[in-house]
Amino acid sequence: MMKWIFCLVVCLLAILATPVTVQARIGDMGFFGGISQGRRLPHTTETVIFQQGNGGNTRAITLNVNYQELIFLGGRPVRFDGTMAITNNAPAHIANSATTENAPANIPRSGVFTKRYWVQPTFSTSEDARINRNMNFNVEYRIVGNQVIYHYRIVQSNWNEVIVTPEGTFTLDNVRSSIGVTVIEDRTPGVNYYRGNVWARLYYVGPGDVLVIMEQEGEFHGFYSAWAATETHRTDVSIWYGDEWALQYQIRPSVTVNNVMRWAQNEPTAISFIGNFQEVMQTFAGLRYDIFAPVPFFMWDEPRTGSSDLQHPNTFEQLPAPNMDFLRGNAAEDDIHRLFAMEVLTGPTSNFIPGQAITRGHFMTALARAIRLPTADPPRVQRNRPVPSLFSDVSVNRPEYRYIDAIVREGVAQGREDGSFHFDYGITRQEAITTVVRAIGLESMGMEPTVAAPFADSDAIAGWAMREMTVAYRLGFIEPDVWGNIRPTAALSKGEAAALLNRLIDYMRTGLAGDYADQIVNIAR
Amino acid sequence: MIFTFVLGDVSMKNILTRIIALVIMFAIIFSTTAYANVDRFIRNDPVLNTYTGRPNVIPLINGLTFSDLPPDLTQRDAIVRSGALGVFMPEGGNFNPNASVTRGQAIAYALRAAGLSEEARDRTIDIVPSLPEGTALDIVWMFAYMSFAEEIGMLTTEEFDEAVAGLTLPEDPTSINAPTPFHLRPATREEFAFWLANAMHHAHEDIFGGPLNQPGQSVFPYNDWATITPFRARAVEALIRHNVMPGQTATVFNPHGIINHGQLAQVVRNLDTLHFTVLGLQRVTGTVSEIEQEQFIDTLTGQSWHRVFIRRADGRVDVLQSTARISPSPQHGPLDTVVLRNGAVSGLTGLQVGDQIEYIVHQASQTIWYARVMGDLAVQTFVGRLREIDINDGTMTFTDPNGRLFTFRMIYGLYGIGADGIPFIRFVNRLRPVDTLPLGSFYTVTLVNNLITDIEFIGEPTLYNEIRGIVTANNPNMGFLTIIDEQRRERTFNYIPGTLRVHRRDFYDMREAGFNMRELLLDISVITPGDIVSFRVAGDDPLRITHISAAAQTTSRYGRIRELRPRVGYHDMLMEFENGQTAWFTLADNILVLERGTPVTPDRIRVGDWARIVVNQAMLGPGVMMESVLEVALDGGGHHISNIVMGQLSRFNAAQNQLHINHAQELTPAGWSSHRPLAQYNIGGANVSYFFDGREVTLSFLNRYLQRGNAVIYLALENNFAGERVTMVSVRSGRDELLRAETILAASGDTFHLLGIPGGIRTDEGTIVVRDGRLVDPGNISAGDWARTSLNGHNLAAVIDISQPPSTSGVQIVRGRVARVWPHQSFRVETMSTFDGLRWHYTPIPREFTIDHDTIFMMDGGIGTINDFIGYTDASVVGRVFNVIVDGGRAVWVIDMPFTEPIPSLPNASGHLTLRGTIFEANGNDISLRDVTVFNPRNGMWVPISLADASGSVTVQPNSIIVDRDRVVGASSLRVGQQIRVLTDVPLNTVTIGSGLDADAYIILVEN
Repeated sequence: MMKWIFCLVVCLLAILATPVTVQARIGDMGFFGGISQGRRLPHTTETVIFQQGNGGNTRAITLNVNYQELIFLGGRPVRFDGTMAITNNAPAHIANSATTENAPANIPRSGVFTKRYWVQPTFSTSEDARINRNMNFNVEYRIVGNQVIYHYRIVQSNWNEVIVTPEGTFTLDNVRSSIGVTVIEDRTPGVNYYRGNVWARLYYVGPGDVLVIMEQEGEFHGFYSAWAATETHRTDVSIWYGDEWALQYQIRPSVTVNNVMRWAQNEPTAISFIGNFQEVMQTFAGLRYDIFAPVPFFMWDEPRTGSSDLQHPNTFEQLPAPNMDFLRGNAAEDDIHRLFAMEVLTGPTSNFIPGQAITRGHFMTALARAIRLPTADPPRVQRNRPVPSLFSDVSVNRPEYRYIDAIVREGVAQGREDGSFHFDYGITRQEAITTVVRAIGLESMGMEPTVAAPFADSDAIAGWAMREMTVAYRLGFIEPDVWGNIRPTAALSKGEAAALLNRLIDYMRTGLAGDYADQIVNIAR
Repeated sequence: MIFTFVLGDVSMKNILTRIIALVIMFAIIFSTTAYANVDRFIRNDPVLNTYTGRPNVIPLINGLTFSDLPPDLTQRDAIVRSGALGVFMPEGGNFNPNASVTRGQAIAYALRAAGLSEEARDRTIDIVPSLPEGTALDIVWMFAYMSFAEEIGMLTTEEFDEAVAGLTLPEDPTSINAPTPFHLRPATREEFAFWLANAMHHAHEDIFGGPLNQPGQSVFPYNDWATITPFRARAVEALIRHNVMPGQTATVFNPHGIINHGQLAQVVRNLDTLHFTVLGLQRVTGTVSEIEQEQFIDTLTGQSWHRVFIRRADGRVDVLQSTARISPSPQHGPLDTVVLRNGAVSGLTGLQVGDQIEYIVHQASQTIWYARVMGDLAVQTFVGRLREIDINDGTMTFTDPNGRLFTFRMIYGLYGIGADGIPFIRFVNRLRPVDTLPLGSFYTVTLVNNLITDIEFIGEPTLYNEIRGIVTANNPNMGFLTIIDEQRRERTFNYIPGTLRVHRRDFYDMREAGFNMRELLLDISVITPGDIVSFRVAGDDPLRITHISAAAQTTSRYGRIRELRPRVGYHDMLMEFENGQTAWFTLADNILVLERGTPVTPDRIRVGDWARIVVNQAMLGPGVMMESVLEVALDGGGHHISNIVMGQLSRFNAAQNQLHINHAQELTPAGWSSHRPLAQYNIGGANVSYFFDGREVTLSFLNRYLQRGNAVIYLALENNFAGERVTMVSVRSGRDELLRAETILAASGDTFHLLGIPGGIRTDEGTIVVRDGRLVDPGNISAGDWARTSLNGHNLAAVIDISQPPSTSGVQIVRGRVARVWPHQSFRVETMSTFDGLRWHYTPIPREFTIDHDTIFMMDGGIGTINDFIGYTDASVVGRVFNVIVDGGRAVWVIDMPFTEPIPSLPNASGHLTLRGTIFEANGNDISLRDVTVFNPRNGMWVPISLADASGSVTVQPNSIIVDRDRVVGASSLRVGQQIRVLTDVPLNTVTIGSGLDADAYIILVEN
């Protein structure tokens, strides 16, 4: 008996000790108009540990986050500050971020897992605004190509909610209430995008047994990548407080978590490196609301719009300090330095001479590392057993093979007609720019067909690159020269490649989130 | 020939010379060889076997180059192959195909064909002692062959004795009667058949499927079968049965006829698989798909490889390679093989890309023995309907229009099973799961020598073609439409005006259910440049459009409006996007502008606003883009400036992205106030700009040079949804001097003028200019603006906060007694007084005000609704007096409020307490004031309540009215520093004026 207990304890400890890795971030704020601190992005060291297989298996975990929600049941917004525990039992292939089209045949393409949201006050929560909410969903999913469809089905019998406001206590009638959440997630090589829709009709018994009906209908959009994650909701809510009053408002909560880099110069001079970059993980969580049909009794002297935010401290991590002495003063120094610090570029820094051409193979390898594209081990070379190669010029023995394999499988780049990858040949500007856009799945931002690009030498752009080149310009990845030319067929230098990859990463860190956060949160409609 | 040099006893110098020669030789080959690309996956696929040539082949190649064989001789392959496989020992010169084969030769060939020659020659050691001294080696070997032949039953004892006699007794050439020795007599067909069959059977007992003497029927078709010597009949039967040795004609075997060299070679050739089985050989067919040269040069050594990549008939890949090596010791000759191509004999270099070849290899030793070019590259394409894919067999089956099935093998690289266990097909350079290929659809299939090397999806038969492109011009009057099609060609089509209807999907279409069933067809004039169109043309006129559909091609962009220039009927708008790009747009006056989801007029757009615009973006040519704005959605204030802060930079907190500011003060109507000794401000936003004395700097500069200094730092804080964030930082080394809020008299360029300030006030890039809460460029300052300016340095503006000037006259407050109520519609007052801020002006005229659901009713019991404002029951409001804030004829507020009158309308009245002060603390409804003065209605003067401590307080009531900048606001809007005028209901003659004056406020007018 003692042996069994001991085993159980050991197992539990092992489970608890399993570090958090990448998991789906959908619904990290719940679906109730609140905001949470979001999910911590894995630090670079963490990523390396797991890439090297030293992190154990991912498994379902409970995420505990600080949580904030504005309660409107009393007719005016009252802020609740507490915690939310999200227990997600999604299977590993759903919980991780890998694309699904090329997933192994033996993983299930559909299934059901459970997900629980548990909102509670903390010891510091105001007595006037408290939420106790327990919601259990059976989440049905199916995989279609690179898209995953989720359908959340509430477990009616296990749905409890009690909300306290200055106006009184509201208890959910879980028999009459209903909620539906459905999500579509589109997984691209570098970024996974999703949108969801929420509809709910909630019945509460309020003070004096008044029946309060709250109906909400909304949508949310989000994405997650190695560098940032964002989810933003736009939800329209109507509240009928018996026959006494009705309230209509729109609430737009959003959370963004991203990693940025900061340079730290060393103070001593007698030190082997002059300084290094640090990776700072930031959280932006807040909401904005607009009350369109206010309750006059409560709202006459209060603004009809408002905001609320949830502050969370940044975390940070040291990044390696590569030797960049030989590039001091070079225009590309900073870009190259950053890529080496992020380990997008590896090996001796002195080999990366900005003025030299970068080969297709090396650019694709760096691109795969920049978007933290999951890679698979190359086929094992066994004696007398031939090993198939994706391309005639990319041997499985080359260390870059895994990245080229991943890049090609994800459709970011293709080989040549002659069956080769042209691995050791210089990459053209249009090839590089096209793959950068495809890497984050945004080629659809361009028009199909794109008959011309906003460059004077647009005619020189190949037909297959026209759309992506236009998108790259729109995203700010590229700028034409003073003559308006983009020189699509010119070879890309290593310095230019570093700049391009840094712009891509910067866009993934901050630029992309703007489309999801500010534009939705700040604009009522 | 390339590999013909043979190493002998060479010096180092010679070796070096040869290495150099090797390098030069390959340089020439590299520069002169061009290979067609017949198989693009040949280098991707794993190599199944690498067969290397054999030693001493160069003499063999030379020996097989017979001068008397015409190139088109049908037996040439048999002859060369026999030589290559070691049946003949060619010596060059003439082959003499018609010369008869002697018995000795026939026995030797039979033993060699069976792979027994080495074994036979081993008899030499035993035989030599019994032979006369000086017997020639060829006689010794012949002796050994005969001995071995007798031993395994090829020769009878008598024949052997005769053969021995012939070998040991030197022939007397002078004797014409001397019998021809046994081994020199011509062999007959049946003899050779017998010897060959026996040798083969000895080498491999089961080569003929059982004992050699098994009966058969194969000889009977020949008329002369009975003439076959009986003991040789079963052997002949075996060879005929296996198609090794057919008759001379269809009916004649001619067993006693002489066999010549050509016929014998053909017989050996016919052995085919029997031969291969005995020798451990295999025959493979395939296509030469690529040729590779490689060389390795080291000190005094070198090696070169000539590799021929073969796509085998089963789709896999073999490599045939010849090598040449040079080294001082041990010395190696080249390894090569015999190749027959178009009648010419060569080594592996004779093969060319595209050759269809058969090649014979020895699997155990991985050597190549012989290769023959059978034909040229045959590339075919066909269109078929895919019926089945068999990954296990590597085949695809197609059907033709007649339903006939065709199955072809795929090259190995085209399919496979991935590491994840998923069968894949390589499709447009991507590996796709097999089950994603639509079965039953048409494909274009490329066959190279009958192997599938590529497939391309077609789909189903095209019923009609549609043309797709981007519209560059549409002229509905003239009836032409110009597009740029998918091949980037500009093409113009025509249509009959007025006859063509179009379904155009706009950017806001929700595609509601059933939309297609209720298609809204519009006139073709709705198609505008930039639209994407898809249309069909008439069968008899390829330029006339008969059906067309269109969709708007829109995109949305989000940014800050930096300039807005009104024009006649439109505005020019300069937008700056988050990535720093700027672009001018034209806004038509009828454009849809949304604010908080509500359509508003374009004049609501202000410089500094952030907005999301929907743009129809038409790229009409290289660098020619036409953008037209379809919609503007104004940002609800997320980028508005919520605060301007002044202080001194303490430090930068890199971990938390914060600036720590000492002595932080906020800009309020009362100036810099709300002092905090240390405050933190977040700089985690996307686009924060930093300035020092007017020039842009970096955060690093700030951190390095300006922290903990005496310089003044100004921060513009943005009202970010995730908490207040710094958007602009300006550090100045001068002294701050806040000016009183004034109206700007004139503004030009970077200078403006204020009343009372001599000279112009300059601005620079680091000047924080805020207009109505929006951060704008200094160029947006204009005359008439009411601005609060903070200088830093001589007439240099650090902060300019432009806002609406204080005014309360825009809010009209009247008071009247309700005479009648029309529920939910309006009410009438008997008489009415209008308030001017200090006095009520009486009007003895009834007046009617409309009410609606937006009218706010402040009743004595609290906030009421329109349902409460009735003229019946005991809740009737008829006869009661209300203050009403009116907007024209509409009642915006209806307030049940005590009467308050600063200047009494009656002669003997004292009026009500009216005071004025500056807010120094606002806590909910409790407002603390300093510098409080009280209005004296008798002389119209404002009198301080105390010279020592002129502070007091007022309490805002639920039914109070607060007017600030012509708007009614709540108590929470009052800010420290504001100067307010407060009207109370306390009769002036009942209150003691002095410090700590306290009263209930009913009307509050904000004055600054």
